[in-house]
Amino acid sequence: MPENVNTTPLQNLEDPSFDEHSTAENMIKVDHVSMIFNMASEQLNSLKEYAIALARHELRFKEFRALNDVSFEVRKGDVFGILGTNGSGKSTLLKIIAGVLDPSEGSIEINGSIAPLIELGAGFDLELTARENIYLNGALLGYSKKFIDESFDEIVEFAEVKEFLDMPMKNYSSGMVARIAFAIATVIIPDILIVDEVLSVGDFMFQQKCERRITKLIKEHEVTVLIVSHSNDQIERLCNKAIWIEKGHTRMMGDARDVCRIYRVLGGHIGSEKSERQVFDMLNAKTPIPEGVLKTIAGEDRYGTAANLMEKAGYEPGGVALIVPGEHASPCLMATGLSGILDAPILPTKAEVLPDTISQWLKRYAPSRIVILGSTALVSQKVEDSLAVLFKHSQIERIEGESWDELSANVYEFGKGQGSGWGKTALLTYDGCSGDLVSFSPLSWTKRMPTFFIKENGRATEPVEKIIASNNLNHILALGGDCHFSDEYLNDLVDKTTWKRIAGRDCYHANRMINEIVEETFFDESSPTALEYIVCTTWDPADAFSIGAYAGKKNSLTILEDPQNLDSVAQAIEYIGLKQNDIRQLTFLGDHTRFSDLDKSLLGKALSQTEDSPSNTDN
Amino acid sequence: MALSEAKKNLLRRNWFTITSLVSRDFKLKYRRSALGVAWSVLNPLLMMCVLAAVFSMFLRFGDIPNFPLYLILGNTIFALMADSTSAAMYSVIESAPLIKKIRIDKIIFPLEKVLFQVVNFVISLIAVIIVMLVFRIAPTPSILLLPLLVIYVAVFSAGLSMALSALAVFFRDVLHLWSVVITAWTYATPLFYPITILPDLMQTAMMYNPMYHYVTYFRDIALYGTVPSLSANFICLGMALVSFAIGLAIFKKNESRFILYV
Repeated sequence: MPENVNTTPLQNLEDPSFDEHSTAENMIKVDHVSMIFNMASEQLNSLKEYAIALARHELRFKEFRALNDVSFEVRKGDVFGILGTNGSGKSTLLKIIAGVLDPSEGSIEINGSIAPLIELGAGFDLELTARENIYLNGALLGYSKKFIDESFDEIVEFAEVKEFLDMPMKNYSSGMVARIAFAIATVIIPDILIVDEVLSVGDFMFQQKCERRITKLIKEHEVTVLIVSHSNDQIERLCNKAIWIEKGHTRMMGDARDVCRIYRVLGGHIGSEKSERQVFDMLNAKTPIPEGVLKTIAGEDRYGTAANLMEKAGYEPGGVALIVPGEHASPCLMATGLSGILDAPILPTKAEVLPDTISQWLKRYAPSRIVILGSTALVSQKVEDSLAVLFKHSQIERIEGESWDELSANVYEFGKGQGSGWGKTALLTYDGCSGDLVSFSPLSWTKRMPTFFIKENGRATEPVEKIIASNNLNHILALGGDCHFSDEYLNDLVDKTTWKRIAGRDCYHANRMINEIVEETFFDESSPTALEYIVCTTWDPADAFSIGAYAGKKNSLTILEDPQNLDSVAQAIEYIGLKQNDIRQLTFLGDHTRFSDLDKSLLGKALSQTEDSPSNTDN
Repeated sequence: MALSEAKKNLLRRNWFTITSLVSRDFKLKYRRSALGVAWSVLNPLLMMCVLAAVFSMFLRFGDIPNFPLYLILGNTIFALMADSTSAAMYSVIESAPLIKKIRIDKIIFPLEKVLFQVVNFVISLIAVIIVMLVFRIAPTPSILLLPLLVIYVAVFSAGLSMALSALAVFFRDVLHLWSVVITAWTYATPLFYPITILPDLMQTAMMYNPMYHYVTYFRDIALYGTVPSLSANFICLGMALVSFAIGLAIFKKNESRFILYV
């Protein structure tokens, strides 16, 4: 659970306007409810612990507010969803409404009978048979014997367990247990139905069946329903109203679709309050997204994405192909410069097997020459063999190197005599600085910059030091703060050359700084910046491993963003706003698990934002 | 006292829940044992044989006529209290999954355990009848007071059960302590010795032992064929009610906090 999650309300909760014209009867009234747990004394299970705690005056310490002044009303016929990340107090709230837990402050008014579907199957004794359990569970849920007798067949039919009725339930599959539990709990037609994550049990068929049953209860019997779910889609599908609770605080309440939309982008994500407000405003802004500006390049995994990326980059078939170990960021990114020299696509592979998507693309590309980066531990002989089988007439070479510094030195030696040769500027960085390398990749491709890695002790290996000290390079760009390698070391290292350190507050800040450098050296007066910007996520940069071979070829720039970090989203919005006159295309790298449609549209809107548009939409 | 319809409904509901739980316990207890319910009869019988052998051969405390019957009467009624309190003590803790998820009257759990032991006690009476048959002791009409005694002991045990089950939630130490208390109580109650062998001081102290009164009551109606005096009834009832009232008070005061500790 991230610590800096915002909990302030996003709207004026005192005046939920969506409720004004509703005349339906009030079924549940939650009135300023707070729940306080005393963490210290709740863990004392013996007299000794109690006595010790008493002596230490620890008994009333460590209060934990699971719910903080939550109020809402649910009217008859409402399907009310409760959203929130894990540990936000949803279940506590449901327990209070179900009457299992008493609130520490505030009150609850319930109008009618409640059927709680909180963690189904409480009270099942697995030693007993299903038949016995149906009666037992029914009794515990407060059904009368007569009612169970009458409904027995219906329960059995719904649960689909007729043949196994007299078998002890311990022999049942968990799905069958869940089916029986759900059938018993929903056989009654309550006034209020409480559904807590139950729809996540059982197989797909059964989940649909459960959902149909609940829908039926809603439609035909006007049952009021309260649903807690992690599944945003489920809430959006079933509910008409929703509340979003974060760490016990109400954040938003209203139309289920609105709340879900906001929750999807902001829910549980870290970031300062200011950034969140910025993102929230942008979400609500009516700004249109310029047509055709959003583009996505994605595959089913990083290899698929890489194949698509190389396809779009437009390499002429029959050239050189670079095969890099796709499980590691550093060797992939150090290949950028070499890719620029050889005008070769960068293709990541798994260590043991050449991914299907990559080999498919390679077949179309039909390389005349294949260069593998890394020794057999990184790219196995098996991969090399399968390449040899696929491309009998191509020349296959391997650049050896176990460690990144060794490999980077060898890559440099390899590239020396090839094509246009290395540029005069080199990058020096450490393993883990992937964000900066991604940001730099357009430049390191065009300017054919070698990338060198230093070791954990803050020094480069001897071969690397020799290369840097040689006359071939005249400028060193050091990526990363001086905690990784010191100024003194750099001064010692570079004798005749100059060096410059590039270190940002974080990778997003560094991204903007690097983009500026790239723009300076890259573009001329007539077009001061790139037309296409590639948006990569930082929380899993795997999709961006071969980005250099695309961005360099297409003269694009990169924008780093992490949709889960609202600060980075807000920064990206700001940055795109600044560049809005230049950007013609935003290319998102990765599928919907990286960027949701909402994430994309947020940045799309940023393109057409005006100076004051966010504040205009602030209602 | 006129009960409202809702209250009556609630009581009926709770009664159905309790009987369902008793039937569950019953099924679980005898499932997969060859002799099944017969154990409820065999157990006190065998126990009586062991005790009778030990106490009539090695440790004789004076001559008690019909010693086997004397033993089994004391043991069965004591077992009713001991077993129901020991089982009830765990009842709330064991029902944690239910308490956390379903709105349910928590008092059901200890009471159900007591009721289950009452059922067991009734079955074990068969053992008592067998002993009476073997030793040719004819019952007198005073045996008809037995239901009254069962109610006294059940109410008394229910009081203890409620208190113990509530306390056990907060202090698990109670679970360990109670088995020691039960053992001590077994020896402190004249189950296999006559009260007359005790020194005077202890005989006086014995008057404050509720189990002594219940055991004596049982022997009076089943072994000696006498009708206990009104004051004996009054003492038995009084002790049961006091225990019940204290137990109920402890339970009710704490039940809303159970969910936080189980």
